[in-house]
Amino acid sequence: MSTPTTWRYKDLTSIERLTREEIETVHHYAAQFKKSLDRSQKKLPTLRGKTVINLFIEPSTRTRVAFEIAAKRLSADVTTIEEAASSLVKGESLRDTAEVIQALNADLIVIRHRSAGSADYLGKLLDIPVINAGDGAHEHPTQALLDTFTMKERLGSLEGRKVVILGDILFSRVARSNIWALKKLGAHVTLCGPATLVPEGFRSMGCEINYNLRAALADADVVMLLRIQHERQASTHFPSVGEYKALYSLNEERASWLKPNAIIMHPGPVNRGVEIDSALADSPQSVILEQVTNGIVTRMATLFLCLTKANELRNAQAAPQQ
Amino acid sequence: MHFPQVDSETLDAALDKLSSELKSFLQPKAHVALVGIANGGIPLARLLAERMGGNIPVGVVNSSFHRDDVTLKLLPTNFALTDLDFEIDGATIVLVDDVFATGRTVRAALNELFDYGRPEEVRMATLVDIGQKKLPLQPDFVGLYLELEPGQKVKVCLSADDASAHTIELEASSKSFA
Repeated sequence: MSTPTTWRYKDLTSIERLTREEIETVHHYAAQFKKSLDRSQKKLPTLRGKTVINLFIEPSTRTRVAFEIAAKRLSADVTTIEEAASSLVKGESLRDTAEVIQALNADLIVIRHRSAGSADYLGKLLDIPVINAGDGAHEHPTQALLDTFTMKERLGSLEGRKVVILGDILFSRVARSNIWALKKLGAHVTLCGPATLVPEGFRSMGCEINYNLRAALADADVVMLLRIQHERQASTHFPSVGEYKALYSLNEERASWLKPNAIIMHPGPVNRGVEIDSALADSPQSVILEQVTNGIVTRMATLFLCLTKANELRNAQAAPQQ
Repeated sequence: MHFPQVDSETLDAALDKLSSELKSFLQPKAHVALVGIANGGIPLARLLAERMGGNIPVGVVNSSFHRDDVTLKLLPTNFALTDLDFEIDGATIVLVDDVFATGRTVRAALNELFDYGRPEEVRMATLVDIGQKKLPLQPDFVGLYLELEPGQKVKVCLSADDASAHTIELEASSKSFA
């Protein structure tokens, strides 16, 4: 079935502002790029001559490396800047750093930053496209795009599917972006976890909230586990990791409450034995490593779309007025 | 110059000519395939394979990401993905497209094809050559030639079941290459 291609922005800073058609456009391109992963020559010349800068002001393995590989697979030149090795530690502002990157003739910035809104700020400030690789607890749009792409690969359409997001919702940018994406794609989203980490306010995003794990998992097509961030929640949001594990960790018995063909997802890094039993994380139901692979192709799609849109906008500005 | 009106009979005769020439060319070779360039070349490749006896493998190449204007505008989502379900190395491949215009699509298709392997030989077959080439490439097998004004292009619709339903229409050209 043919759907119209649509992409309105030079930047990708949030899922909230995207339409369903734009999310599906990313998935369509990701599917095309995925074909290139299977062949001996994995590189495409599509972004030859473009320079992509990864500005990572927060630790990351999967996202940073996936963006690097994605840019390289499209033949772009890519440089990664991390906080410790940047002038930010000397007191330079984010704005100045970003403007320097633009002045160095970069064509696109991928930014991860601990402050919500940082990507949006740079997108408005700069002429070149900006892609949000995670901004505080706000959004992680490419994670939601790869997650929904993975779900569609396994389950087909997400219309009417039940997706349970389990764990730390409160602090999770992954949860927020996924909720936006899933709702736009027609899925039913149920949130579950300790009440301190699953605030009632999320109902306003169109989610169901269920603190009873068995009821939440019943007939679910997908369960998406979120990392328990020991550094924050252990001391303040629930009594102990042991209690969290006893109440919310996914084990074989609890996984049997899902639909038989349901899939288990986790954006990583996984705390084995806390969010999920190790054997279950490696089981055929788990698509955790597929998510990682799909992280490359969905990021290839977003790099391609943002740079193409930037070219379109530039050409439209340069065209003589009729 | 006026666009010459081509009826379905003429198109069917062009299909016959193409399939006969391709059959003669490919018959002595051991390892052959037709590869339709997405999207217009796909139904043509299938029709030609059928007229040649139906036992020749048919694949698809999507050359979109090798095109020289790829980042200038979004691609349509209805483009078929590259699908080459046979050995490329050492094969004689005939790239098939409904219309040969500037040659840029063929250049991109060759690059896509070579990303999958190293064919022994690659040839190009087209139903219609509209005489607008801008690269040092040309089809080896041509159903019919049409001379169009600069900027004009044609749209070919082929029917798998009904030869009288084949059509070719004159279209206003966009700036993008064909």
